[in-house]
Amino acid sequence: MAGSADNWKTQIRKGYLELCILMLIRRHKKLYGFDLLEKLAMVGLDVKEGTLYPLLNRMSVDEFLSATWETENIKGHPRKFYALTKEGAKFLDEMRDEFDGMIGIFHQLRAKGALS
Amino acid sequence: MNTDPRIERYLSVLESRLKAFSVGDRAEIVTEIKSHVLTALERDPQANLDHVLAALGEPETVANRYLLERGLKPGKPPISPVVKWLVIGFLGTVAMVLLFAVFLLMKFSPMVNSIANQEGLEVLNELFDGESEESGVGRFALKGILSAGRFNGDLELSEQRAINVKFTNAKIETVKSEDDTFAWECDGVGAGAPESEVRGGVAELNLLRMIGAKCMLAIPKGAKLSLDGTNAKIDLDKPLFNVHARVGNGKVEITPEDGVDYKYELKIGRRKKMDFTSSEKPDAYLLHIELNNGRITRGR
Repeated sequence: MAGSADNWKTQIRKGYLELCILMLIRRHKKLYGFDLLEKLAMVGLDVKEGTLYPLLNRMSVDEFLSATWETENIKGHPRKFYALTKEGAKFLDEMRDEFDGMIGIFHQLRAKGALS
Repeated sequence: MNTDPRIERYLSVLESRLKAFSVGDRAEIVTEIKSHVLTALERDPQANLDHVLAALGEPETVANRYLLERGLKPGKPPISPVVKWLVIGFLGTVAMVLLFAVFLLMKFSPMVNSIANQEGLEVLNELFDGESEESGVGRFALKGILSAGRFNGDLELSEQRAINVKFTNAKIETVKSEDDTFAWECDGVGAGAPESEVRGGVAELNLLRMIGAKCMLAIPKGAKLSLDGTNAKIDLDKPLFNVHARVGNGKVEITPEDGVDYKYELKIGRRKKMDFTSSEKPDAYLLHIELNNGRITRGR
């Protein structure tokens, strides 16, 4: 039973995390991994580094994100900045609409006492 | 700028676990992770490198997450030292057992030893019992479970002159006995030797405990031979005796003696076999053979 609940949480969190990542990148135009981790933590989403980077990698392969290497100063090391592609922006809109719909249903049900 | 060897080690393991990716992809992933570690140390100079690497997770686990995200098969998780030593211990034990087995074989060698003066065999230094019988024909037994070899014997016929042979699977050949003795010589493997006795005036030979018995039966003139079994190949070579055979499946070959009369009662299933010329003379030998399935042929 506990295993099922954990699995459900993992699944829903994964989709939710993708949505949050795309929203944060849209707001800041471009972000690199470490920055993204900090910003997610600031809104209460603690994500492990070992989870975030593979996710960013996959979203780049899916062409929702574009990546560029930039070095802030001569002594600094290169950082991989992620920005939203056109596809990513479209996907984000779809995700947001879907999520809004789900939240609406959830609130409706809750108001009717289906959930205590 | 020199990088800490711990970072290099971590990145090296990570890179080695990403073989399913292209060289370019691997390099990009490794550079990004390295960038993350350096940024973490840069933002917090008090940060402990080991903690930063631990927060990332084991390089094998991180590599597997990359593989899973891309729909690729993840590699095996790293083996913990405890499991590693358990496996080594197990393999070591197996090796010791094998060495012991080789030692035993060497100690008991030669595996098969012929003992000429006792007309027997020693196998694995008498682990198996080889013995000789009075008849001079060798018998070989394995702890009383399985016997193999040649078995022979004979029985004097009573006035009834009846012989009853029972078997499961057998190849039986009959020859004429020179005297009034029913004799046999059988080869085969089984849970026991053939059993023989005279019961109610009938000489009985029981081959039921043998598998694939191959027997030569010497039958006295005028005897009544009864054969009862499941599967058989029977050769009746110039019989000068009566036969009553009832066999499930098999092949019977009859080679009549020249100038001797026979009365044939041959049946395969429900069908009577009529191509043998039967004699109605009272002194004709009766050959009554019933097969459920099989063939009855004439020998040359």
